[in-house]
Amino acid sequence: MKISVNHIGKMEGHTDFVAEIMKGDVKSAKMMTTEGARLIEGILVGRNFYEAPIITSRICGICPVVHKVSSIKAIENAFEIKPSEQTVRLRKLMMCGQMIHSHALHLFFLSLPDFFDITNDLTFIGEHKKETKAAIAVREWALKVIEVVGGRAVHPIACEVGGFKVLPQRSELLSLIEQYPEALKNAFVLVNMVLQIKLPKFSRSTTFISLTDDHVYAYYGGDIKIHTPDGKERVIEAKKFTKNIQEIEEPYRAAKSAKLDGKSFMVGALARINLNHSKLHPLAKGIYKKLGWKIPEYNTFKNIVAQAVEVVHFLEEAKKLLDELSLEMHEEKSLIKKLELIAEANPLGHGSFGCDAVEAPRGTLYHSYKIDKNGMLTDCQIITPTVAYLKNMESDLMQYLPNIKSLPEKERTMKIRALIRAYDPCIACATH
Amino acid sequence: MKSLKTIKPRFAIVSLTSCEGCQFVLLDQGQKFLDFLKSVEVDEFRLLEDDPEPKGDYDICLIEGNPITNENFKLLREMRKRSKILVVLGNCAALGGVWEIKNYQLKKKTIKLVYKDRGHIENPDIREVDNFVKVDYTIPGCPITGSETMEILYQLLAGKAPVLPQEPVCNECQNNGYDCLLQRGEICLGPITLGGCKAVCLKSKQACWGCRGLFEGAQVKNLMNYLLRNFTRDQINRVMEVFGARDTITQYMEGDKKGKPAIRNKSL
Repeated sequence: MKISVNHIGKMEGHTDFVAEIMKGDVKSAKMMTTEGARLIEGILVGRNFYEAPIITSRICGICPVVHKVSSIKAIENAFEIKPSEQTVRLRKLMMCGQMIHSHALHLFFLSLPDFFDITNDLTFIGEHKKETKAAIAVREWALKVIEVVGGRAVHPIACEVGGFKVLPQRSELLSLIEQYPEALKNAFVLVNMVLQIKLPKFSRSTTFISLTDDHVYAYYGGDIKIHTPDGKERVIEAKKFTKNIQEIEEPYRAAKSAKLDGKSFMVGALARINLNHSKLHPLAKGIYKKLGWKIPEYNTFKNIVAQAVEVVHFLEEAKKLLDELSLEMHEEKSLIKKLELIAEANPLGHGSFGCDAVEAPRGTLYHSYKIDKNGMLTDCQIITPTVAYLKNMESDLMQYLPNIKSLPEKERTMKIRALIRAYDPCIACATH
Repeated sequence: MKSLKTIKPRFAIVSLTSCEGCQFVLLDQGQKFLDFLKSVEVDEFRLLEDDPEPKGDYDICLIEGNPITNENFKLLREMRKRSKILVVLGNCAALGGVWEIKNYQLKKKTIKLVYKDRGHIENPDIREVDNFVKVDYTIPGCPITGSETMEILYQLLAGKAPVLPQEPVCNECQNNGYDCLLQRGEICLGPITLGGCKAVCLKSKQACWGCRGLFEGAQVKNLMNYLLRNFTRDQINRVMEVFGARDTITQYMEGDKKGKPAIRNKSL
């Protein structure tokens, strides 16, 4: 029998799903992405380095901040530039805003209605007015954070290679601090709702990958931790990401996918909580402890629970950064001006390579560039989280289908859509 | 009371290939946008619903993104056929978007840079949506400006033709007291680009790269002559390419008025 689920809504980008079941065995489960290829890595070749953060942030309208930051960091690595501590704090602050608003949108508006068997958000929000108000309010605070630091929430402007073109006003930071308790309160309204949901039972052991750091819950940088199903862990440098992870092209879709040692793997909130939960901030850690998870937690549906924990964690992280930044801000010029990079040259005087990995809302995001001596890009590779976990999603679906194959078609389709959506896939990112 | 539901305009938002950022700008309007949705019959909006698509026609349809795949083209034509008012949402649909850079590259080479051994990849010329279907209104920007878009949506709801003031980005830039980056020696397309974005880029000291397209009456030649004193044609072209404005601006300068209006915001 053939199972087809067309036009899966409530996610970024376009995809269908097709599976073949023969004599009870699932022969194949394929995410057939229908997004056109924009060929962004190709577009960038021959362009100037400073265009890369501007162009790559257009990969995705929900997570432009992480593309921009990752692109900037990779180029800085290529130029051997070290940004100031203040610059790093401001970038981190934007990324916190990014995590919070993306997670809040996904878990509340895109995924949660699935577990109430509701296909239309307008119905869902009509039935959950208090939570809707909270979801909107927490998103508004997070969007404001990005706007204050980056100049605009969707496709921020102020950040560039070397630093920031303009700095936020201290009064704006203070006003965000003032609104923080309310944002946190609203986040807990969401958390409480998520914790009450009875999620489907499902478990399939897999490899988890995320950035890691000895001291903090890694998202801005760090090494890459790989936790395999046999319980072994290894840590590699971010620049060795592409040596370990293999990108795959498949005939049935324009989106690429990826494997590690020939196997699928998982990235994102669930992977991060599994690998880095001990580094969570206090309130988030309190929620995590209440979950009573036995690590590794392999139920993909619990990705939305992990996102809820992270909403609180990144609120706490943002507050910490806001406190530090509001204490003192230096009127510093962006390094791009100091180094006269705008004069279109590689400051090293020769061609160079740089790469970087950050944690995007959906998982580890990797950007790399080769830049010639005139500052022109000669090669570019971007591996997005959805590319990373697309194979894992297919493997999950292969295992999940036998459990639900005898359900009536409508119900079965709902379950398939719910599992796919729990990943928070971004097909726009995947088909960049 | 019975007729209340049926008199609501039937509304659709459809995305072709894009980053979907313009839809997120709408969602980011929060309660304001949800209130707007209450005043229409939301028939197709895949970001918020997963219902089977209803048959029938739409009163207002917003189109985001570019047609790249055959499916995109089919969907675009279908939506035009079924919609009374078709509005393009954002820079990709209006001007071609960032992807239009591909038009200035060798098609096969660009594909090869991304895919090593996959077979056919659709890589057509990136063209503005109004090359393929009749467009009634354009909401400009990469991304769109939230408050401006909400105003336009309510005007459409009231049955009015939305009007955007035909003024350059410079007006808002100067009113806000931002530094003039053109005078500081950067390539800034603010003097010829349609305002309404609150000069948001200039606020962050980023020169205008023309994502909202030309306004009616823009003195394109004056700006080009000014820029050519300090920059090469190639440098200027590259800036104009980033948001798909190069072809439109070139056509306008060459006085190409046949076929379609060079000023894509004219209808607003």
